[in-house]
Amino acid sequence: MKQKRCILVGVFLFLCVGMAALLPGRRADAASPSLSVVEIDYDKETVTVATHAGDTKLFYSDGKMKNWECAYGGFSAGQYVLDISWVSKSREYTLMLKGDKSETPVSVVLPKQQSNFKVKYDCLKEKLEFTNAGTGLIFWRKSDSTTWNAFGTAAALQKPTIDIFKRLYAKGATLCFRTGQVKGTASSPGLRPSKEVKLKIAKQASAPKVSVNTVKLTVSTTDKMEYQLNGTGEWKACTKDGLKLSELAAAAFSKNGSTGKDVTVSIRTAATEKKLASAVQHITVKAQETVPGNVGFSFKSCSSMIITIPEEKDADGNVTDKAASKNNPYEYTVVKEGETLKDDASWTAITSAELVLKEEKAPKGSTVYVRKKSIYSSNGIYRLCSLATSWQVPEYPEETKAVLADGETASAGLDEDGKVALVKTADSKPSGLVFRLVISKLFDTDIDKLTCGGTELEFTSEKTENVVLVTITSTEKYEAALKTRDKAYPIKITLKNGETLSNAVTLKVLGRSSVSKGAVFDVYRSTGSETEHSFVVIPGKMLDKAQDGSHLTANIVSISLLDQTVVHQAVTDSDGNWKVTIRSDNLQSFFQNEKMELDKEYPLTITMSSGETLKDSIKLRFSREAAITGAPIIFVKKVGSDLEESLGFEITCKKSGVYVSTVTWNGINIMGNCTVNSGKIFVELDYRQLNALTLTSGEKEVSYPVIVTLSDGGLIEEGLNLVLQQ
Amino acid sequence: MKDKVKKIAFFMLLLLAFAVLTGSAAGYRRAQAAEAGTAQAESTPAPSPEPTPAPKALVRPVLIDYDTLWLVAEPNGNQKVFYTDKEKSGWTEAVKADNGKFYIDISWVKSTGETTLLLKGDVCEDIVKVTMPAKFTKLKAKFVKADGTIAITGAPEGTTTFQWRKATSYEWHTENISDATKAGSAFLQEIEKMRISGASLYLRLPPVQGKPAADGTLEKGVRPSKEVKVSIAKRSSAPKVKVDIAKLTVNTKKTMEYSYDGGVTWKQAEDKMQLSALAPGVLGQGSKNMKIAFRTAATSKNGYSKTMYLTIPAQQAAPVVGPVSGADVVYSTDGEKFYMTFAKATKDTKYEYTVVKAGNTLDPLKASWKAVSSSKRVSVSAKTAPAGSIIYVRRKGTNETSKLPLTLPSAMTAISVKYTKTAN
Repeated sequence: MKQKRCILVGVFLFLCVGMAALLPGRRADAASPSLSVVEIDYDKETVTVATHAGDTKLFYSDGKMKNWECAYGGFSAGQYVLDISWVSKSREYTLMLKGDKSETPVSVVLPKQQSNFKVKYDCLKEKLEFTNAGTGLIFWRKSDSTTWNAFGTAAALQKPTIDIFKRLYAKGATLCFRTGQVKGTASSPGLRPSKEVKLKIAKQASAPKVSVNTVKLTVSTTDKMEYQLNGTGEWKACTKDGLKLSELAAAAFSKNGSTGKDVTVSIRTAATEKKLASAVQHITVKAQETVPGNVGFSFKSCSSMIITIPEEKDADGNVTDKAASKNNPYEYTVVKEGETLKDDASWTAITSAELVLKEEKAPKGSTVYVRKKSIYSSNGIYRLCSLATSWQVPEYPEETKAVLADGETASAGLDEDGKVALVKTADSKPSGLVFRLVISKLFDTDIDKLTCGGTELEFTSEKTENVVLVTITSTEKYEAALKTRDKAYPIKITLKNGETLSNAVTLKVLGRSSVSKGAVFDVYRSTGSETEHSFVVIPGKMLDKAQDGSHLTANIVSISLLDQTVVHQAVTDSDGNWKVTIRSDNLQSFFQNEKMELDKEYPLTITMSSGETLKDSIKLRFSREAAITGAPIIFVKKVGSDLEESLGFEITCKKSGVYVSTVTWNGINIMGNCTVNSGKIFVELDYRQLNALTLTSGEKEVSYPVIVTLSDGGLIEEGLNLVLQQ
Repeated sequence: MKDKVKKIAFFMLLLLAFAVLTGSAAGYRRAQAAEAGTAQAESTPAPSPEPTPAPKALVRPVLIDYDTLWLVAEPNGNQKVFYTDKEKSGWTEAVKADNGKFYIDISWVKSTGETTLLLKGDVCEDIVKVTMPAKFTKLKAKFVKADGTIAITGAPEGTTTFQWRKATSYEWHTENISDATKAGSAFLQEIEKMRISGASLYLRLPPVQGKPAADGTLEKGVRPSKEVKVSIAKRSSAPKVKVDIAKLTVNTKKTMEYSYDGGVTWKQAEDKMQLSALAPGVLGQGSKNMKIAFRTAATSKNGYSKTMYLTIPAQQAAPVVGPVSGADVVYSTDGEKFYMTFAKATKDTKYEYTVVKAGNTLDPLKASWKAVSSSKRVSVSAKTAPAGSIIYVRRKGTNETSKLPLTLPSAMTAISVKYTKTAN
């Protein structure tokens, strides 16, 4: 049985082998072609041909075989690499090959280049879609690069390539695609890479501009946008209602003592099939900060508090907290006493390191909350409002008081209302205008300025703890503008913290002395004239008081002119004013005052016992009533040389009815005839008197003025000189 | 039972051995660790000095590839990398690759001028500059037909290499610039190959990647130059050299040259050379096929043409003239005409004959041959071939066709013409 089986198997095998041997195309004695194609490389554009017959030369031609080209060089190691870059790709090409020994041509059909390959990029799915891509790899390159990159067409195989394409979105790019070659072999011509197709990846649009409402914590969006949280996960569609950061970025808020985390919300315009998603706008909602450590509360004045938010540094000088500013705003809200802070409370921005709240806004018992304000910067950083610090406002400080500095004095006292009443005499240097300000110890301030009637008063101040000693040093500007005297006006005291005291101190400037009517008196050079000049001085008030409490009036202490005392007589009249009289004879000495110029007005300086000085009201003008016409005249007489006629000269006199009383020379009467005609006086020097004049022994020449005395006492002392010569 | 006990005991021993071995190994490792620890404990390190402030974590550009047009930057501690060519225009965020580096496409950067890209990180915003040079555009290249070289001009001083590719291929080949003019160089050999069918090439100066220098700064590198197209003109067509099968001449010209050694050496041809001078080996007894290369010789302006290889078959033996068995030709005469029968003549195997009268000699160049294409008896009159003439007969040669190769006319057999009557 076994043997039978073996025989059957053997026969069967024999038959199989035999049949195989006889099958057409598999004849054992079929001759291999002498030339064969080893490889067709369409990337290198070469055909590698092998010779099996020892050919040294390769010839090639087209299918018609009319013209055979001899390839340059020859077979090397039995192979020849033939360039086929010259073969047109637009149609199939039959390449015929033969050798110098292998004369039977071998044909190779080089395929036409496929030109129906297409590629499209679905921007929405971020996927490449191909038409006529075949089954092999696809190749792509940047249009300005000659380096091809391969990938498979299946979606899963595309991913690394798509990831690379994402790097091109920002600036856009033009890419070239083609299918890969299938190398030809001896049995198959293979496939050329397809015709290249261009794909433009348009630059993605800029990130959408969204606005952030830091109060409502919302971001404006459209339904064409989408968002993503923290850079991961899927992009979700936005709506026209916008995004609620309070929900999306809830993790950024502190809750129950635990700190939040930064949350990034990325927003972009969603892609469509043809358009890429835009660039992304990132909004980083920073973790909510804790209670700010640089907020201070204190009183600024008795009716205001101040919130200070300065810059804080650590021991090394590094800034730990920035001061509040426009770029680093804080905000506050005031909650009434008995109420609690609500979520919808209205907050007011603080954009500088200090903010003053008046008592009306933050009364005692209310609670002031301060926190860092939400801000959204153009770089996409959203700072949430921080947790808030608070201060319950205690009792406001006592009002600043003005009190007497040294008790009651002539210059400072208290009026019937208890106010500090300062008094000064008119136009005098302030003296004793002093008071103290007592400021609450709950805040630190100092005096800033004093004004009265809108005019600033100059003062000095000295602060000791919470008490400021104020001394008024000048009221000049004030008094210059003051219209009504003897009346107490309030001084407005302004402190540096802005506080004002308008009703704590008053200033009264007493009435000033004055001349009732100004005048200019002419004083003539004369002898023994008793012309009188009078005027009235209304006296000013003095600090000193009478028994009835009224202020005493001032006396005239002195009257002077050109630093010289003017003798005068002063008598009070029924009005209490001073009638002052000055006589010409008391003024003649001024004609010898070197500072005096004739015919010029000089004011009298009237000094009052109140310290006032009256000037410019009463003026004196010194002049001569008569003068020698044609002065100066010099007569020269030689002793011994007798004159036969009198010397004459003319006098012009301002007064009429005046005549010459005497004419003397060196005390010697030398008057001759004197006539008056039309206001002019003609005077002769008697020649006989002149001839009698002599020189003393040893004198060769003397010169003296001729002195003319007028009938009204007027004196002419210059203008005519007589020179007596030897 | 005994066997079982033995097996258990053996197994226990194995376990014990294993335990001992692993334990000692662990012990060894512990000892090593202890040693290290001891060593550490013994050499107490000195208190570390004040730490120097960490250098700024600047974004670090590490490569500019001008072939693939990528600028590669390492984040160096940054989570994000931003780039721009103009700060005023804003910053673009680069995309991070899986390997943690940032690949910035630079295909949009104009290559006509030097451009500087600015980079910065999100952690360290200090700007890092990357400068990319302009593309060199002055390269010129021209194929010199006369000597088959490529004249490359305009390259910057110091250039030693260039690259080329076929116009239809993207594979670049790098060559020494001297090889473009060096006769026999591998490059020029490649060019020679292309002179048969012609080709278009693109030449460029190769790119140099921008890489970090020894001091850590990034070198600019060099962009590949502008590509220059070079057309490799086909050599002119090979001369069409044919054998005149009647005259046994070849239509050569003095402008041609021929080679017996496959193109290694060349000789100048003459006009209309006779086979006897050009290829005597194909004629007569002991004849053999000869393969001769022909081309138009080079001139000062043009290179030599393509080569034509002409295989001249050996001349066949002269026909046998009868009366003998199997003779090609038998002849007879009736006194007035001379008859010849070419028994083997067919349309495809023609014979021919020419008459040379007495006193003349056969001039192969001028002889007029009459073809015979059948075995039908042909006659020649006494006038055409008077007695004493010699009729030369031979197999007619065939010009090369697509189906048939060139065959030379055979050697001749001479038949003396006599008009003595003979039996046919």
